[in-house]
Amino acid sequence: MPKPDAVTDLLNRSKAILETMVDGVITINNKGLIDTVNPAAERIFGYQSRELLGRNVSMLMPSPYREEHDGYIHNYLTTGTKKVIDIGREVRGQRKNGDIFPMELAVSEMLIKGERMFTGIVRDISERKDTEEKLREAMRRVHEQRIKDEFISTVSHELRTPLTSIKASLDILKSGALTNDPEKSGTLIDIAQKNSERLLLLINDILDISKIESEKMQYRITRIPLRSFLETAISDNRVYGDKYQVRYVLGECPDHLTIDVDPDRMMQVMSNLLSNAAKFSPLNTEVYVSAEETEHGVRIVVKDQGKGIPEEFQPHIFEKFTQADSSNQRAIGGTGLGLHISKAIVEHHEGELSFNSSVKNGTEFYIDLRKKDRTGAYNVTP
Amino acid sequence: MSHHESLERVLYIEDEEDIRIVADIALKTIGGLDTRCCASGPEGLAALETFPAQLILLDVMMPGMDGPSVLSEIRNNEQYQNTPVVFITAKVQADEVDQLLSLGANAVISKPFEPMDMAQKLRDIWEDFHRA
Ligand SMILES: Nc1ncnc2c1ncn2[C@@H]1O[C@H](COP(=O)(O)OP(=O)(O)OP(=O)(O)O)[C@@H](O)[C@H]1O
Ligand SMILES: [Mg+2]
Repeated sequence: MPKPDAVTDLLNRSKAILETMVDGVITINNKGLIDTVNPAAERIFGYQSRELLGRNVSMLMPSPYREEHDGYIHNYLTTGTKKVIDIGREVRGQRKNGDIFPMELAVSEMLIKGERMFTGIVRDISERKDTEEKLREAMRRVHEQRIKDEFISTVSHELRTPLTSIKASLDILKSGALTNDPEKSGTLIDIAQKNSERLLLLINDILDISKIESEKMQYRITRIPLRSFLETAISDNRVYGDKYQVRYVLGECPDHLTIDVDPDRMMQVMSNLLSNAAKFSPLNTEVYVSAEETEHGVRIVVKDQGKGIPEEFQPHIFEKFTQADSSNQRAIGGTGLGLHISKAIVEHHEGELSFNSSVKNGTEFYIDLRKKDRTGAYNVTP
Repeated sequence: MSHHESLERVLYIEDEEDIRIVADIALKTIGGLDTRCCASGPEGLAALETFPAQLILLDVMMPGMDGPSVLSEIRNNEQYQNTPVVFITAKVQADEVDQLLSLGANAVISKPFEPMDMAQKLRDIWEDFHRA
């Protein structure tokens, strides 16, 4: 038996510990009524101890936990199923002023004079949460900035590449060094001209991308007959097909089908799909364009007889500035923006751009435009 | 001043065909250098076996094997490990240039380049290299 003053000493120490603790300590009885609270608990919840003692601990919880709490204790006492006991967890508390805040709660069980009691240790983590949230936000901004920087660096690189041949060609021509060599001069003029065009296309694509990203792309939706739209797409791109000696052929397309689209924007998508099909097809092959009615609307199909898209590249095909990694395709030209823009345009029409590609069967791109209700845009008229 | 041969043979590895054509005119026709142009890293490394380049001009972004990979192949080749290598690139921001120099390139030329001064620029780099 310790001596009485030793007992007092021990009690004083325990009391001092409880009273100076940063964490709140609350004990409740098996009916959920509060038996003791330490000063930290008073501070955290904003109550005086006399406002708490003998009251149901559920008053410190927000709905719906407040209503469910009596059930927990009962459930535990009858079935032994633990929700929080022995398991530290993050929960929400409610302060006297109604504020709801995140806290960590650890509950342990004890037996005092044969009666089951529970001790809850409560840590207010709202500040930590706040810091974490701020940190996440800052990291998100850094990440966004990095993506923007990378984009600008890539754009600068892509613009400088055609500009390099243009400027060098013109500088050489202007110097007069080739006055006696009409053949080389002609080559340089061609190079300058071709690359100016490439530069222009690139600038248009970059403008499109920036409009898409800032959601400033304008769409003028009108209803147009699908068949004549596809015919126009083919005739507009014929020159391109000729360049690669690929023939565009209009296959099946029921006459009655119409689409509700911005014709210019959707034509841009068709041009990219048709130019891709031509670029990546062997000479003297055909590219089939067709359309069909589907369960949900209309599907436009562009099918080529090329080598397909390499499987490992397929997941990246819609990313910006991505091209299948082969020098042969680099030589073919393009910047890898076409499909990214096309997808954004189709999705703006609430449609879907997808593909199916294999070495054996070539590549098929699908534009799926959904049918909407009577008032909606993407109708199929009978 | 140390005695060394003057710069005559340059190998240029570049995937953009049009840039190869203009650079070839700039270096060979205008600059009087014996220039060999190749479209890819592997092609350029193969050319080195028969074409004893004194200086190698190297594009950075190329599909397949990029410029830095070509550089490290060159540095691993006994015959060329000390050959000056000059990157020529459209990545021109200071940190990008520093990064390329840190890989062991002797100089970085940015695109667009000056075609009329290009050969002289390479000769200057060549002289600096021998003075160092
Ligand atoms: N029909 C196809 N067959 C094989 N590969 C394709 C096909 N369509 C696209 N690809 C691959 O996807 C890449 C990206 O196509 P995308 O249209 O985005 O760019 P691009 O045609 O290279 O350039 P851009 O359209 O910007 O001028 C192409 O470079 C090519 O590697
Ligand atoms: Mg394209």
